Amino acid sequence: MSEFSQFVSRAEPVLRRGLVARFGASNGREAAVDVLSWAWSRWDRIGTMENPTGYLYRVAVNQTRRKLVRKPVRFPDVPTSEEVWVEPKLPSALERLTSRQREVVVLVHAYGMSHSEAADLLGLKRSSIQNHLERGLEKLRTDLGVHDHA
Amino acid sequence: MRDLDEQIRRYVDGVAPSIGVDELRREPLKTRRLVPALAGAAVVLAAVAVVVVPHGQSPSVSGYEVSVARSQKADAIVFLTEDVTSAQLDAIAHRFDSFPYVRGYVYVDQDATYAEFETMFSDEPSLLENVDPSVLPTSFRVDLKRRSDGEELVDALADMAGVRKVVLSPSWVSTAAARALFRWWPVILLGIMAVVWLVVWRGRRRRARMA
Repeated sequence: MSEFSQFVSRAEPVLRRGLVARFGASNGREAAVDVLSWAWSRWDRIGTMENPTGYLYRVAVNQTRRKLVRKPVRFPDVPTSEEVWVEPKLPSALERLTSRQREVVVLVHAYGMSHSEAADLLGLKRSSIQNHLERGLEKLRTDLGVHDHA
Repeated sequence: MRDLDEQIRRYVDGVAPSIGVDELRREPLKTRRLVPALAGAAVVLAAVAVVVVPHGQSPSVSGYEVSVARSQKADAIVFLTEDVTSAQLDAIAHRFDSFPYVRGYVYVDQDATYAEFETMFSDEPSLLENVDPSVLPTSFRVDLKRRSDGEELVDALADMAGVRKVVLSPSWVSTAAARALFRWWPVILLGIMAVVWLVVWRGRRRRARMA
């Protein structure tokens, strides 16, 4: 397996999930495909960076933010074929969070990224990560009318 | 209801499945955006080129006609068909008389044409031996008040019986091109400015992204 493929297997879940949280399902995934393709053509340079995933995340955010300026973030309804039940109100509840809150809730709460990893990726302070997480979860639980077991 | 974190994971991975290396595009993002930009620039340049190239008379003339055009001081040579009639010659001459931009004209019959041909190709006796004067075209040599009027002359004679071809002096081609360039300089200037702006803008974007 090439060095770039190994990098993709490590960075792709982080980039995809973070960008989906930031820009919505289709735009976020497309942004991840774009930036990984972009990285592929510049791997000689990007591969030597200390934090290539964080760098690519910022590149993707900058590129996509310009493209989607003033367009609302959309999350599609839960697929009806989903074997495991998902709360139908979850997409609309995610849409109502701020983009920062969504990023932190998805990456830290849902996927278990540490506060310092999230801070490095998003270019935020650790204390900001905690604030976004608390407010995002509170808003999400209120909208869904649930209390998390965790 | 299941745990919220698990539901988010299932939802996110469900609506945005993982990306494989085989899904990545080999052409870089920059290139994919550059290609439409270059295509657009090519369309603009092609449109400008169509406008700038002189209309009517094709600049590509060859052989004897070019030699005649170069050797003569005339601004235009109107070659006539083999079967041109006296009435048609009169009609063409009448049209010259009615044009304000024609300073003068002279009819060159086949004998005069052959004499001219002999002078032109005096160093090629074998060619002269094989050319019958009857195959050489008769013509009018036209002197224009302004060389830039050649285009109008071509248009005016295009539908006249007896006219085979109108050849403008080769120097007219460069004159016309220069005139067209002069006429369309605002469009060309705007095009150059647009290209410069595009290059500068892309450079700024790239620097901003790198920062």
